[in-house]
Amino acid sequence: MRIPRIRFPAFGSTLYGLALLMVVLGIATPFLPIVAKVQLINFLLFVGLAYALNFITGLTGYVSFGHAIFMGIGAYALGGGIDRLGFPPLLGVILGAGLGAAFAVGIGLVTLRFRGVYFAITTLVLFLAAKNVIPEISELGGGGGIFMNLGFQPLAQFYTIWTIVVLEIGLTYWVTHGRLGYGLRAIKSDEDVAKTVGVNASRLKLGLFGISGMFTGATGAVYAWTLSAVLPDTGFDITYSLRMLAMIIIGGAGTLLGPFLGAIVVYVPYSYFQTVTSLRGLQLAVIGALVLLIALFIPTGIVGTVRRYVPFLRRYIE
Amino acid sequence: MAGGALLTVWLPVGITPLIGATYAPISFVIVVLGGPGKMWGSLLGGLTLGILIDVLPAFGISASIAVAVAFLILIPVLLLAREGILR
Repeated sequence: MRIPRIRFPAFGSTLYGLALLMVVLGIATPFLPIVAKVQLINFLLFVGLAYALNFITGLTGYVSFGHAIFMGIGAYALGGGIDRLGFPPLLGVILGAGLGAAFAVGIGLVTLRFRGVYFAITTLVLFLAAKNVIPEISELGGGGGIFMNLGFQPLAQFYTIWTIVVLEIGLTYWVTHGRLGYGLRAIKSDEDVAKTVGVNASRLKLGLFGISGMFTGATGAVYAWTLSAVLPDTGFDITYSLRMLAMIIIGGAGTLLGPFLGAIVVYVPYSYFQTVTSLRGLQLAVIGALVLLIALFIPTGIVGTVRRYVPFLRRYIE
Repeated sequence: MAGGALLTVWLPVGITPLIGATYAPISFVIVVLGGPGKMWGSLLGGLTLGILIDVLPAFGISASIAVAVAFLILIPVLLLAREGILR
């Protein structure tokens, strides 16, 4: 009797590796001590944000400084949903994702007409305007924010953010391979040429911006859930925009593995420096210096550099 | 740089290490509003932003909404005239 050979679909080793890692995390987390659970939730929040920004900035090359808007919208959707409408937290996260996508499409319709530095500055300006408008809306708690008093629910939070990250990794793979991937690479290299050869650039960009806003909104909602409160300063925090950019620049913009590596590199100093009194507050300086060095010397990030200089890994890392 | 030194004299609240976070984006917006690389453009952009921020509260709009409006004015300007308000 012949044993039939089991053939795995050819998804590439990066996707299999990431999937294995996520499955292990998903199975092991209920048995971990509480400190490790909290650390993992915070780490996966960073991973979620990195993959979300990767959809637009990594894949099309449009640098967005305004993603903290969608984070804040998600956070306020969760806060408003729970406090004013009596939603359970999970429904609040879904509402955050929906509102994030809706606002992203609306903002994208206007801002995606700009290119390069003009896109960056319009998204920055929108963020600054949103930050100034939010404390004036008294229905959302004004400058005092919303306190939710949800209690401590680490496992529910963990599986929500875990699902978001898994969806993001899958979607990133699906978007970068096949027909969409060719269109995106064409836009990133030269948008005018891409349009000439028949890529519907504006629809593709708008779709990706919507997806990106959706995931950023969902992640922002989970972030507000972990804090159990939404404040104008924690919801609309420009340092999160910068951290997202730092993560994908360090890891490698537009790659499948890059945002994950970048999240590790940014999260470790962020979480370790908070525990050491003499180092507290220095994490932003360290990450900033690292981004400068990487942008100057290896602009393609960790993944791009490894692919360039270690040829035999090219088959396995993408 | 001279503007920063002048600001120290002008502001009643004193200076903090984070003072740049408030004024750096404002100066970005001013420069792009007037058109990058044009001296008179920056002057005009600065006047536009300053007048909007200070005059709108006189019409009963709250100060922080006025700042938001002053920032958002950049987007229609860029949509209509990519080179800034001064040609």
